[in-house]
Amino acid sequence: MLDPEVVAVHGQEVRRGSVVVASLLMLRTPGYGYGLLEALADAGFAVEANTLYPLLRRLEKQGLLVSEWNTDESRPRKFYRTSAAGEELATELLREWTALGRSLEALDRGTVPPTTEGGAP
Amino acid sequence: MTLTDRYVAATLRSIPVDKRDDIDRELRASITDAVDARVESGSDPAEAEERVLTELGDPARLAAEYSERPLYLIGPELYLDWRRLLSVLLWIAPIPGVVVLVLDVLDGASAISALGSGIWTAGTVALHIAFWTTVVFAVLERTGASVANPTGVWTVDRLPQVDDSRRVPLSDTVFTVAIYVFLFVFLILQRTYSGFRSDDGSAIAILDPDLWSFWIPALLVLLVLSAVFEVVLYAIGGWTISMAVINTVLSLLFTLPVIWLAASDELFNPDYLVAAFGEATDSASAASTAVIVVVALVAVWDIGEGWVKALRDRGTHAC
Repeated sequence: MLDPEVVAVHGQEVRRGSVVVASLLMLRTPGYGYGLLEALADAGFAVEANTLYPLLRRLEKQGLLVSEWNTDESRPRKFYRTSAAGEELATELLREWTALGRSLEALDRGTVPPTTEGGAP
Repeated sequence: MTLTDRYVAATLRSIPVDKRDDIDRELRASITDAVDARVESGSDPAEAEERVLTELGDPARLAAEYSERPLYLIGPELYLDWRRLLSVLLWIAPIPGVVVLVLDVLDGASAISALGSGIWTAGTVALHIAFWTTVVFAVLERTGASVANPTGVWTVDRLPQVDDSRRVPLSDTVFTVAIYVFLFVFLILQRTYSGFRSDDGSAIAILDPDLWSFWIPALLVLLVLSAVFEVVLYAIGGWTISMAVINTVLSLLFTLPVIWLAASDELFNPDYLVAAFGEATDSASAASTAVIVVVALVAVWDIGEGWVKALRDRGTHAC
């Protein structure tokens, strides 16, 4: 029987990093902290608010997002948008993610011969 | 003042001033957004606020995330060095403990009290070693990492060479720190354990008691700084020009006053010289000369070693 705690730990490891890709892809249309949090949750990326908000600032500092204060509405909000560099990174990461997924599926189907080179016959 | 005000204030407290305004506005807006969403789906406003803030968690942790501060004292990069150095340095601690124990026994104290003061001394020295080593590493963790790793990318060029002579051997560090501990303990104990007593039964100090007004405390501080320097040197892993400069300054700050005090016959306690050698004039000049020669030679060696290694390492680095 699988220990749910073990499943949770490994699941988290697999999902780690997906939030960055998802955020960069989603913020092609400008979005603000809480809105993005909700949108990510709806899209199946459960992320804690206390992880996402600092992450957005970090990505901005790295030049992957640009931000702008929108004061048109009654509540001023900081809107983030994916920069050209962020777009480039997102494309790169998405390609890597897809390739990983394909490789895992291939492993699962058994279409990739197991590596025995240098190992036991 | 609302819960949100208190939460935001607690978060901003440990965030650099120039980022506070922006984070303040953004965090407030995010919290209000989340509370409104809960209220819209039928929650009580006060309860919603409490839930939202609870989910955001400890404000100190959030602030650390915002300012990218580590949430640990010594990270995995330095932890092994810290543990290795500390576990060896701690072997120094029993030595002054045994010295005190033996001196107490020689002084006629009971076995129990001698054992007690021996253990207490060893414990105190161990505590100091552990504390200062940890402080140095914790500071390096927060400042040194970015200096040692300015590009952020690890390459195989950075692999330490196993027999690299640039690496400060642990035995060097332990030996030098042990000498500083000995000198420190000597400066403290020479007051009471010189082996001679005056007629009224009080102990005769080896060094001039007047020196306690400034010079001995100053030398004690310098010894602690020198020991800390050795730990930093080990943690950095090799001599650099700036380390050689600091070493020179520390060495001169210790050596010059000692030579000056010895040369002007202010180092030794005349009463002690009379008690030990029968007179205070010739023995003073002999003892002072010996101190000057030894201290000067050690200083020349110490300063020279730093510069030779720093310059040589710069040469190998450039190649």
